Amino acid sequence: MIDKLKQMAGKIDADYFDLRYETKRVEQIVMSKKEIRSCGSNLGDGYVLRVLKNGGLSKVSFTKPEQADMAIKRAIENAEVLAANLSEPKRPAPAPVVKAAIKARLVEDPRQISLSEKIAIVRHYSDLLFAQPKIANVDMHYYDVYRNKFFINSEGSEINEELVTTKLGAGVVSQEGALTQTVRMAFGGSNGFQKVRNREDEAVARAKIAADLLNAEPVTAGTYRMILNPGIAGVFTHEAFGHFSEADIVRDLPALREKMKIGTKMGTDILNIIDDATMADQLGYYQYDDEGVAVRRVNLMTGGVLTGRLHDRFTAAEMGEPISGHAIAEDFRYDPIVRMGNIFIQPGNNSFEELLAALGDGLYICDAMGGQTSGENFTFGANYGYIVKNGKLAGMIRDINIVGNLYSTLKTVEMIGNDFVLDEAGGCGKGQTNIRSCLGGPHVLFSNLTVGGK
Amino acid sequence: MEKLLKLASQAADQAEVYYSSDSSDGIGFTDGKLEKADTSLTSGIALRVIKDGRIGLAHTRNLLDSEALVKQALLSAKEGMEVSFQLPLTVNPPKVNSYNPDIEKLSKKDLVAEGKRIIEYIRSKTGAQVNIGCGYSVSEDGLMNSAGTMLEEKSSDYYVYAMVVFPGTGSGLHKFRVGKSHVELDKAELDEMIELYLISQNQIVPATGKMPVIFAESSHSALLSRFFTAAHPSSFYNKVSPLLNRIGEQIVSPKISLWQDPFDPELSSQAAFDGEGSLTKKFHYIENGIFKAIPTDLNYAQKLNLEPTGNGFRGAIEANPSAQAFNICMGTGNRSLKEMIAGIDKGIIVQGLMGAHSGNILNGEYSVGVSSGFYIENGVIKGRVKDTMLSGNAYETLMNVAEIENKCHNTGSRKLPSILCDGVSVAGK
Repeated sequence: MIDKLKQMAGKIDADYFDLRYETKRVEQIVMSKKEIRSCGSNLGDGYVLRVLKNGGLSKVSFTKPEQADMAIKRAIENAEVLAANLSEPKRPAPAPVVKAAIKARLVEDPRQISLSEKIAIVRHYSDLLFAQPKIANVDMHYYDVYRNKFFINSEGSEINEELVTTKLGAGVVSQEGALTQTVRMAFGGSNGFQKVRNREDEAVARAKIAADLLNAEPVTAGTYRMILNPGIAGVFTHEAFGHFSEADIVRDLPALREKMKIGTKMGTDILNIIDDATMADQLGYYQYDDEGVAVRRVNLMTGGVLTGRLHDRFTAAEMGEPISGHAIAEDFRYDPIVRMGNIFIQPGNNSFEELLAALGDGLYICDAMGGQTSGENFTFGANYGYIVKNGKLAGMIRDINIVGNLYSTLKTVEMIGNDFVLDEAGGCGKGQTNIRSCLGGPHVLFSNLTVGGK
Repeated sequence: MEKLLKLASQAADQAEVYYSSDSSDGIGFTDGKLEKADTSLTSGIALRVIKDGRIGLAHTRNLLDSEALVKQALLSAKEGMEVSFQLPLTVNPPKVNSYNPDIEKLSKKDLVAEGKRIIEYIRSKTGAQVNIGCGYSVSEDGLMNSAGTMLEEKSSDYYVYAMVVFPGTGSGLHKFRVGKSHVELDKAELDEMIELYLISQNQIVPATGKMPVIFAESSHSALLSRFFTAAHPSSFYNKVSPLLNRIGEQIVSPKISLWQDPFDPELSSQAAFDGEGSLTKKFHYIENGIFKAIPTDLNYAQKLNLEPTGNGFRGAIEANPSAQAFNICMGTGNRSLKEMIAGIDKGIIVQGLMGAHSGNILNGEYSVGVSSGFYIENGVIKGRVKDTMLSGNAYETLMNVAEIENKCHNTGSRKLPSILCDGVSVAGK
């Protein structure tokens, strides 16, 4: 395929180009209320060409190989329109020329498992969840996605990397009278199908939370001392801080460039934040990004001080910072944008019991239900939580939405747990969906967070 | 395509081929600078088959092997969903003017010129960061099935949006227009945005409490998405919808009427038929506060014993058709937005929300951050609100509608007036 791409690109008259081709096979099963709503496998493929000419960088995506000449022509036209209106020409930061072919590292290959076995497993979890008290509905969604990516650029890089992602997700709905409550569950990862097997105990625990939520109290709006569990601490790290570590976002919001300067003290002394897509076996694992740059571990915050940023080659050149290998495209339809790989707060020294004791009176908030940022302000929903009195879990609470400002919140990180859990759900939606966006961390105690409510 | 349908029809009891090809061009200005000029040329084919009462889907971007695609669809149908609907025979659907040939005359240079015009105009009145997006596309869709349906539709779309960003944030105010070919964001619309932006320099954290809130057209999502999730036929079929068995009942204020109009030429998704070949319909979801209907596709219409409403759309080639409400309109009231604001003692007007997709959506609950909103005191906008959340239940909030604006704002897929709701919970300081 690499040779085909080289032939297709021929002699593009440009200062730089890259051309990606990808096949993507998705096998999925959607089951709702014990019924299969759809299932099967499908293959998609396509090309993305990026051309840099006179400082203008343009992208053309196309489906059919016979469209290649048209795509090249349009890309050059687009780049010329950009070049004619540029205030600052774009250029890629230098990156090593890479020739590599990488196979997915799988314990159990989902491509070797029959659709009927996958359906049996989905049905098994569905039946198990339905058998739990007060469960009114279970929506199951299983997929495995096999992407075979080919990349060439005008500098001579030639890379083929496979990514295989497996996920079993569920929305578990409990009901009592007109009241329903939903709890989400997700098992999966980058290293194979075994991730969705033998997770029955965790599934049952999710169903129990859904049932218990029917009797939980809606949280009272206000400002609290709070412990976030790894699930929601990870979402906080990703949503509130992580997106501001993405160089394209900082570039596009001029007011942020000052605030997010490397060397700025933003958090408390104990706060270290890292993006590490190279960690083996987690959901976000990859070796080369969609600009052919090897991904590396980035220390984004060290001792509360901003120490790093996530880049593609163009933002790195523009900001004069090192490349990091974080240019990621959803698939063959898109050009890459800067994305987190696997972001987390580095674990600290304290046990959960010590965190509870230090919290005294406050809230213990668990698992995220969606999140969003708007500039420095963030909002995210939590699945459930508990009132904590005198260091002990008291009543369960629900309808929790946390709102806050990034800068003030980072200064309220009071204690960091010594545990560490990475999420298996993925699914960051920054224009494109990144199903391998991984996040997590330890339990974290914040001295001041606001929840909305009635 | 005919060959594929023939192959599939021979191998299955019913078959349907859907195909689309699309060419789109767009540009983007960020902070007044041209950053993007992109093109996308895409096509795809989706095949659905029904065999032994089960349905299967297969799709591809490049049709290299028809037989393999049929095999894939049959494999998917083997374990697929049980269905008992018949693919429809649809002939001579009403004509919609979804294509304007003028679109073919547009070029990237026109888009750049339009972007610059808007930026210069806004910049002449504010020092704001301005982001612009502008683009056009032409798409051709076709559908044929074993019942004999053969439909084709060509459509053109043009969009332009302008956003002014509040300093230090990613949020701001925006204006959006769509058309079948070039449409202009006129000065009156830009002036509305500029006027509010100039007031936004002053930031206010309102006191926590219940107060009147005006939901501008861009913030209805918090309320309407909850209704449409509950009104989705899958929520009815799964018996988890709070609206189940409530058709004919009053669910919101009698001031509210909500309908879909597939033929409204000012909205972007005009369509005479849906992604399954069913004819679309104009009908009310809510009429004077009474819950009237839910959107359906072929599958759920049959399972819920309802008529198909022609709402079975595909979000993408890869997706199964699924009931989606589109071209939504809300009935207007009799006060201008200025009059509505003037009548408020202490309250908020909300333009943008954060986290509208989180929380217990099915129950109608919302708890959202205000990313763009203004505090009103004694009938006058005093400044932009910060660190503020709204929460409540969409049905309760919509039961307390006090006023509805006397005109609609076109957001492309929806035409909505601003609505003033009393007693909304606001969390501030």
